[in-house]
Amino acid sequence: MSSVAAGLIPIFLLMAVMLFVSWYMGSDARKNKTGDFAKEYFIGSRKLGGFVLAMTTVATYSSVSSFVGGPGQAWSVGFGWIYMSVVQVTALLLVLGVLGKKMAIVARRIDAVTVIDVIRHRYQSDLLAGLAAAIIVLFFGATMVAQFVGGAKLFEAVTGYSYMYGLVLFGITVVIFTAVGGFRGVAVTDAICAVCMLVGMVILLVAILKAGGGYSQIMEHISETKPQLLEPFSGGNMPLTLYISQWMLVGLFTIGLPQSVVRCMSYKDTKSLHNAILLGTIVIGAMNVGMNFIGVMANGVLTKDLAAYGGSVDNIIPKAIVASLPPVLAGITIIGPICASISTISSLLLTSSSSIIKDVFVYEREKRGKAVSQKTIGWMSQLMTLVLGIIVFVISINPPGVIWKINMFAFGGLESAFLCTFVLGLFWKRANRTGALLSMAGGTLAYCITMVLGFKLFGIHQILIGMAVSILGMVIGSVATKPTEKKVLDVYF
Amino acid sequence: MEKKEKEKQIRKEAKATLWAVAAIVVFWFLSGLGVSRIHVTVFHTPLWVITGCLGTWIFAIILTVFLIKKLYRNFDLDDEEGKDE
Repeated sequence: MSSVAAGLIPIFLLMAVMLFVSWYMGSDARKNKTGDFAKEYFIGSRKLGGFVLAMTTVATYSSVSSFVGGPGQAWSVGFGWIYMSVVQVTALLLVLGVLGKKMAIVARRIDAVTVIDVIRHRYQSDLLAGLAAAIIVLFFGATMVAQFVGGAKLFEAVTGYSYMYGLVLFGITVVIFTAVGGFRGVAVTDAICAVCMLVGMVILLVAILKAGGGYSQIMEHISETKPQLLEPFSGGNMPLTLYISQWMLVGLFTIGLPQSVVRCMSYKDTKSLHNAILLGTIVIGAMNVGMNFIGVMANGVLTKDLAAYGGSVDNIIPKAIVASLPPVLAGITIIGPICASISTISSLLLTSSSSIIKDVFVYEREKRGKAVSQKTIGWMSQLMTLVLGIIVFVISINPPGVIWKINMFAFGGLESAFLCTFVLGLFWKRANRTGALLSMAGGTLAYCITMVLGFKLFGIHQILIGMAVSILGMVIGSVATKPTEKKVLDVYF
Repeated sequence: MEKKEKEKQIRKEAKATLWAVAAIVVFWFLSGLGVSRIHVTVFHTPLWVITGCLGTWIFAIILTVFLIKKLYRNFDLDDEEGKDE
């Protein structure tokens, strides 16, 4: 066996482990042991412990760009990039610390399985629930394609095998294991992914330091050739407005991301939640500081201009891996970014499928008085996950340009749509249907339109406008119209 | 814990968490951009890199431990009054 082929062994092994674990984890749902398929399949019957909750939240949140594009930027602009990415240590604290318990209690009271169940009940609006489902499916779809493409490109660059080969290898695996394993399968495979990301990171760090001649030598090289990399503003490449924008976009406002909020409904008890907040904060900091530090250190291995590396920072990490590791170890290292990619895809895929099956199909049927059996929900949920996954997979083979645009809009779009709906809905009694509709529709539209036009306020990312419109919409709409009925509010306050 | 008590505790925890995050923002600013005005290098590394990046991370961990030990409380997530036992 050639050494390059040997480099594929770790990935094959990992994919086999993922399939086995998710099949095993999904067996409870399939056998319908809990008597409620949707609750088991989409939320793991609220049984997650602290370790898995921490790891699945971090893994879902850390995407392929945390492992490839981000560190590539760190190579280019220096330590300022690490300093900027460390703002993400607030992410777990915010979503689990602020929303964690409230969401868990409410979900138990109304027997909610999806975040849209909560939105529909809190605001008593099918229109809002439908809008939320549409936004989730659209933005999650584009994000999933971007994750597939990122992972497959990295696979191609590091192993030398084709893009398509990589896409089939981990793309088909992630779609199958998500469909089979449900939430519990996704959560446990996410936890495995998070551990693999950390292991891959440590191997790469050691290798790059060694290949660059040690830390002292790399730092001396940087201070001689690119001293701006040692400055927080990186000679003008990292303006203050960028720091402020990132604090909002990847720090504070991540509290509203539905793929994180759904995790608040899935854990076992408050002790698990507390453990998850601590462990998650440790791990997310380690990953962000660690990966971007690797990016800066890659300057010791890749010493030429960006143009020499194909003109894109996305090429930096793959080239650094190839330059500093033998194929077998390179094979273990790329498991990290591939895990980052599949762990994000699996969670988004499951939430998208729950939006369609549980929030639209089952709800509409039951509203018309037609009961849907557990068995039907069972096979339809798995089939929908599979079909959605295959659609995303096929689009990823040759993604049209519009997908990239939607993907660029996704993160901020989801925050503009959902932050006020969740946070104010759970903590402000006065928040009502009109406010939420104005907030969700207005915030998302304002964000997307200003993104298209490239219009900014004070040089800060458009998320500022999206969020401002979203908050205004919620406050004005809620105050101007009559409050939600007391019977509903009693569940929340 | 009763429903009302839980609600009060949840609000207290949410507020404390937001204050902790605000403290992290301030710490981040002072330990990075603030410290970068002092041109000190420790083991080939500018001091602001150590305080701003590693420091912010460690500060966040310490605050999280503090919240969990001192402010967050454990309680049943199901409503006790709803139980038949």
